[in-house]
Amino acid sequence: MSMSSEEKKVSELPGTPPGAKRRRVLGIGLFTEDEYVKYKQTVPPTLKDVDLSLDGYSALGLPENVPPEKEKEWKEKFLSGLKKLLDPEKNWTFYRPFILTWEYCARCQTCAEACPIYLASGKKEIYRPTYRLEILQRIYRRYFTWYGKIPFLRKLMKADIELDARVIKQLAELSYRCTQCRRCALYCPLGLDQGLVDREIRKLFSQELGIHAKELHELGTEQQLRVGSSTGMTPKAFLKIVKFLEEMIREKTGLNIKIPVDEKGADYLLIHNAGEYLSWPENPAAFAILFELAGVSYTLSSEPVGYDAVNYGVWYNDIQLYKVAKKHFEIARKLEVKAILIGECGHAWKAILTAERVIPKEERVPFTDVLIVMDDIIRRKKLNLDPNRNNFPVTLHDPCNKARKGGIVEEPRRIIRAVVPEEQFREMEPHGYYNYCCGGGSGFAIMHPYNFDEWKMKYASYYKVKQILEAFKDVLHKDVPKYVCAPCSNCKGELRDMIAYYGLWEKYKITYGGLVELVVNAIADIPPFLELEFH
Amino acid sequence: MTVPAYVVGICMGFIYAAFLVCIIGTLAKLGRYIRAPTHLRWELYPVPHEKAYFAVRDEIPMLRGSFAQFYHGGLAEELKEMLPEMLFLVRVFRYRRRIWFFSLAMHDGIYLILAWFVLLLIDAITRLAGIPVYAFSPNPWGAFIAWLTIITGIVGGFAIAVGTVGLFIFRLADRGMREYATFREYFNLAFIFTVVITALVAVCTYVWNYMCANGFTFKNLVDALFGNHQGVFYEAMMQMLALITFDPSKLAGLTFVTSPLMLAHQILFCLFLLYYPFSKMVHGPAKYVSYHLVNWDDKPHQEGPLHYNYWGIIKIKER
Repeated sequence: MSMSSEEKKVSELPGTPPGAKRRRVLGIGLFTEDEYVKYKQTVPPTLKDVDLSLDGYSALGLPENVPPEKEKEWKEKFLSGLKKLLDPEKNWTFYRPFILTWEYCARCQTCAEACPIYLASGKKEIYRPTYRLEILQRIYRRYFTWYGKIPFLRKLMKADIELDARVIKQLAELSYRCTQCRRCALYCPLGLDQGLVDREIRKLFSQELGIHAKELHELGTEQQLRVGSSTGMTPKAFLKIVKFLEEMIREKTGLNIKIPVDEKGADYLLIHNAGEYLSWPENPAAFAILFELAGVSYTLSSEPVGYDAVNYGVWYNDIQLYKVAKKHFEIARKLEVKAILIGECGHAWKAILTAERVIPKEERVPFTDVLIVMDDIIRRKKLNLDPNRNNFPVTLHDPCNKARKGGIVEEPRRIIRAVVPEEQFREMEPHGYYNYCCGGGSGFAIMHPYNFDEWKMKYASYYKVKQILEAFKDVLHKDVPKYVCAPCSNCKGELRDMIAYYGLWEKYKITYGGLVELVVNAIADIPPFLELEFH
Repeated sequence: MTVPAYVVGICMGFIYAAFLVCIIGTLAKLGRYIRAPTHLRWELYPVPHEKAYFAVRDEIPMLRGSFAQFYHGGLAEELKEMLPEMLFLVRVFRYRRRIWFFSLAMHDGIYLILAWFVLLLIDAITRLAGIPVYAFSPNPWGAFIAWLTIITGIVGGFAIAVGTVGLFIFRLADRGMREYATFREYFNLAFIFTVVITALVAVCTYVWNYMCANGFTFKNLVDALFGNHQGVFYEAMMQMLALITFDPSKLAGLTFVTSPLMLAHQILFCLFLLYYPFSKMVHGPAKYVSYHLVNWDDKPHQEGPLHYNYWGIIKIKER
């Protein structure tokens, strides 16, 4: 096994574990060289050729051995990409927020107290929110400043990270250890954003080196643009599923509902995360019932990309962000709707908010979120609701993309107050704008490569599990089924994984689901809709 | 020990130049961020001026008016969030209390010294208007403004000194901060400390010598600070007068502000002003941009993208 990285003293690096003054580490990761060799002997054969040198886990599956010519190419591209990040023209999309964080982060480390991953890891240095920026800046200083060129000044000026394949791989992996929940930005006294730094590093890797998580790129945006959905669902399959949903609604409620598809001139073009159709079909079915009974004029689209709201570009790539958003707006204009309506999908909401400015004004269509529309429906008293239908403990998980990043906090609470008995609803602490990420943010919910799931469960989801258990602490008994309401597909995916991993269903009867299911379950005119189960 | 008059004159010229460079440099820096291409929306809620996320909903006919009852916001809400943050470092207090005291001492010390400059200006203008300005002035306004100058200057100076030393020690002692601190961060703190400590030492020395010569009484202490025609703050006021009237002759007969230590202090201060716009310390003004133009941006109506070039790779459309 090649150890291409130059050995460095631990004390020179921010990853220093306490009391480890004279040990030596490998690149910017957690291991010493000896430890890494030993660790690699313990991993299963599938992981033997995968670089795990950051922290023992892999999200990207980068190879252990990188040929010298590839290393050279990576190095050149990394440095040119770094330059582009700091160029107001080439990186106009995020130059302003990025340069502010780049220039003014004072390393007061206030943000560290906000990061659930850093805290859950037992404050491992490599997960500190400012660590990525620190590494990036040390590389920048090393290669782009005068003092970085003078060997004896490098240590003093912290321009001391030599770029090689190992460091590049570790930094790429490191950019997939942050859920971009941006809690850190909320804590920052200067209003700076380490979550954005993470996104920009991913962008550098994706747009310049072609390194990205395959679930986000090849199986994500690329597949979505090619086939129609990141799930691989074709328009034909989508139409079949719509038929299945109509059948399901008939069976469950006796209602004969024709779900509108490709109907021109409706008020809304409703776009769900296509994962809902496959994993949680009761969610789009519930929307069909709700909108039918509330008299909301809407349509679905069967055009490729038009039936999948996801836009993974928001996590890692501006160009993909633009391409997918462009399709969404195009389809909405073609269907002559008054507005795009984003389903229960957090990042799709953030993506359309963010991507708005890459679409020329004349090509734009107004957009809004289903939580806003549901709130409107309920406040206009269009439905006959019986909260006692949902007579079980409920807590609300605020998806970061809807709440902190999307401004929707009060709406789901008003909805819940209308459909759940008051004594049954309990808040997690902290909640709303200050909530903890479920651990599935920034694409993690759909990423299951190698041993990455273990990392997610142990570090990224730990605080959410803790919060859920605390919220239900007075009703933990197995006889009482409990519902974690998460109006976001990715959050639901992550909740499903964490409930299984931590055994929350078997031990405590905790399950999860969306918000519209609670609303439809409370409609007194139809039979109960919700079954409290865990699959 | 006295300094030749031409040195004092050069020093005065330097003050004008440094002041101008600092103002222009800071504005240019801010201008760079403000004039940067409009970035993609990247808000961080709660946005104080847009609490109910009103802007997006209002453009949708089906929802028009539905959310008006929840709309409360505006500039007042922004200031309610921002002023406590600036004056008391609320986020540091909440989430990182260990460094809060020293951070607050340094930052509020700087605000006090900025206020002190304004007070000196008011002193000078009051004096120009013929009102005697000193601590025991028979004119109540003259006395009030003099006392305010004394208190603001002394508290501000000592607060900065305490704050910078404290933060310097914390940078060294706290592992998270030490490992991430560059030479520049220590340098900045040391620089601020040096500027302040030279003035404090000069003031203390002057006051001590004055009291040694005239006796240790409260009146002598106050006279050494801001007496009628003598004292450190009196001389600072006269220097301000000289600066605003472009008249170096006003400095004639002043011994404190023209002493070598005070000249060194003034040169250091000017160097600081020259350095400030190009350092990380300009984060005060930059904070305006990070909050108002990024985190609290929240403007849905924009004239399309101004730039179509992505990463130097694809050109989408020329307008």
